[in-house]
Amino acid sequence: MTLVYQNTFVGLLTAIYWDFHYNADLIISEKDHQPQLLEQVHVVTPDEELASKLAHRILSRFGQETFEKIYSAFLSESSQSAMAIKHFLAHARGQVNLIIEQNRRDISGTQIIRDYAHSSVYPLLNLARMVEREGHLMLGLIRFNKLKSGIYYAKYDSTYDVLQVLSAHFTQRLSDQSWVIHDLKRQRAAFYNLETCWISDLDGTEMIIEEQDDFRDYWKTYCQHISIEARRNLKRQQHFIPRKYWHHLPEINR
Amino acid sequence: MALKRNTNWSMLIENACSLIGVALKQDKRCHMLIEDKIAILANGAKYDVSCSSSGSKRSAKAGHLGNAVAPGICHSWSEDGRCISLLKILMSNDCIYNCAYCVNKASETVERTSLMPDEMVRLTIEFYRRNYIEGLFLSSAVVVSPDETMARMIHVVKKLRLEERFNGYIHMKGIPGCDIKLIEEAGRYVDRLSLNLEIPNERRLLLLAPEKSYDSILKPMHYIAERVQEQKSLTYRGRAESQFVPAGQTSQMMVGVGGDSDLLLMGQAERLYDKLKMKRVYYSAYVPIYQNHALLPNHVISPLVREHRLYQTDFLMRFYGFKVNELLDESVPNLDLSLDPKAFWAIRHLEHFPVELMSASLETLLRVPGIGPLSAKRILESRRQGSLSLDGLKRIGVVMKSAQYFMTLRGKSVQKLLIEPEYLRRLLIQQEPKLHGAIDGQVSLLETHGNLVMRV
Repeated sequence: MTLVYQNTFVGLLTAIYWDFHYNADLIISEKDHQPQLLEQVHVVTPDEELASKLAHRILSRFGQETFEKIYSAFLSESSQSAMAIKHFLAHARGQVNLIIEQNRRDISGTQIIRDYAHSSVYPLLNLARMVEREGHLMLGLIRFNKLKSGIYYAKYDSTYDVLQVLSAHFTQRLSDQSWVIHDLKRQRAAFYNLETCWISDLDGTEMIIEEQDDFRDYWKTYCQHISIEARRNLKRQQHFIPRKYWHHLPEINR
Repeated sequence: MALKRNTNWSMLIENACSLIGVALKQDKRCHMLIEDKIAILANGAKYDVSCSSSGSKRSAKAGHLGNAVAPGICHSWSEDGRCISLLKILMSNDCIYNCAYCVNKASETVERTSLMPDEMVRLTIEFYRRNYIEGLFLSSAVVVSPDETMARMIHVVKKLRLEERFNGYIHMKGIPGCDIKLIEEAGRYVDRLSLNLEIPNERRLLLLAPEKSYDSILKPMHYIAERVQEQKSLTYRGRAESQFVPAGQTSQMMVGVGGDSDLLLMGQAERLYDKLKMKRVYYSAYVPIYQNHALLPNHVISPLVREHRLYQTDFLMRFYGFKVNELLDESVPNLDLSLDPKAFWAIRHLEHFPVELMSASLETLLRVPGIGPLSAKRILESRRQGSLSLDGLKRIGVVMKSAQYFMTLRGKSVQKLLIEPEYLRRLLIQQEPKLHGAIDGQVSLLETHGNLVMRV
């Protein structure tokens, strides 16, 4: 059978919870689900209580790192993420039983997530890694521009959902300026008003930024002149900044 | 946007600098447009290749701007493929020294300018607010004297920290020959402080840079090393802000200025790591900009490939537990340009192989070509949980194309260990086809081989 969940983390966790009873062949988000003939479909209603029960169980048995990987896998918005989590949890429960049976002192539940070689762990780690990698890259790539009101505004297009990582980072770093970080693709934004940070929906139209910004021009000049001509290697530059990010970077002029 | 000079402001600087006890002389060449100054001064700073913003963890403070994260963040990449994470700029390029290899040397006809402290601070802060940079990398030509130059740079750094309450990353260059008191003063405000050794051979340094001396460079380096070590031994070190140079010290050496074997360079690097506990040593390939110079080579063989191999050797020393005398000695003073240094070592020491992955120690695993520190750690973890298989090795990230000749898994080998070193060497070279075409004297051929991957 197929379990279909609403495209939220609570929805995903609820589906995983129910899967303990159903043991479905496929757990998939409603956005990826394509109905097949003769398919038994069960739509899961998100239940906060069940989701938090599962979350606490994961945290207490397998630790913070495991939970973070599971959340990152969800943020990858991949159609495989739910199944990867399901397989990992099944494997992890088996491992914990093994630890208890054999009275193993050298491994613990929190380390199961680090077993890169295992076919049930690797898919989850892979999804999480893609999200973490883009999150770290975006920390450096997003560029703030000033709006007429003086608020700093940054917009970006990313493959995975990294808005939370960005907002947590900039709440710490730019704590004395008001800013908005706009995820154009997902039509959401993080807002910071010198006191708190919150995330809410914002439609995909970009805000109007100040046309003239001396420091943006200085930045372009700087990037041009910091390069050593004899070592020019555009392929290498593109390896580090894939083309999909170029649109919002003022210093890349191609 | 041209900034006019203002007499009140000049007096402010004089007052500020009297704290350090050095008088600030007025610089006449400051009426240029900021944009042009940035172009000239960034151009002058670009050969200082250190780019990292890592090593210092500054937590955000109320009422201050910024923080610093331990791993550092890359904000952009320039057209030469290098990371941009700091505003790397000279305070002034008006140098009184005449080092043969330097673009800013006194006898060079290049436009001279300086950035005023106010301009420097404004640039740093505004770039930081727009998330262009992690912080500032401040260097300078030697203006008037080493002490004078250091005082001016310290003035900028103090302005950033104390007036603007800037809590981001600052890397400052020390000027060889300056008073140790100025090193101490600078160290209280910056995250990283470094001096460049430049030439690994003292005699050659005296020839190429007669105003410098090994002593003038090493004395401040030793002081920084001692202070950083002394701090490490305290049980409570407090926050990064109250530490002396929390991100440690680095240095740079030029590669290919003539008369330097890889053995000499790496020997010098090893001494810097062991005796001075450097965080990093950087290697900058000398690209011949001057032809028919009395002291400098006209032509350097594959400078960028050689630089890449030196970086790989540097990583072998820092992360794989190798000593320089294992990789290079009098009979083999230079690295093989076509092979990575670890494979180069492995071929000459086949008695260590094959390595059985299920029972090898971490140190032994690190010696296998194709296995790096991350893969080695993961092998240990997966081995403990009992799931190591050939497919598993691929998932872990082991470069099987190289490792297959040197390992066994539960007694079974993927490829038999070939006892013919020359044949093995040719097989391993095939794993790096992109590099192969670039190994000759021409720098421009580097365009044919995209990115140089740091794998040994």
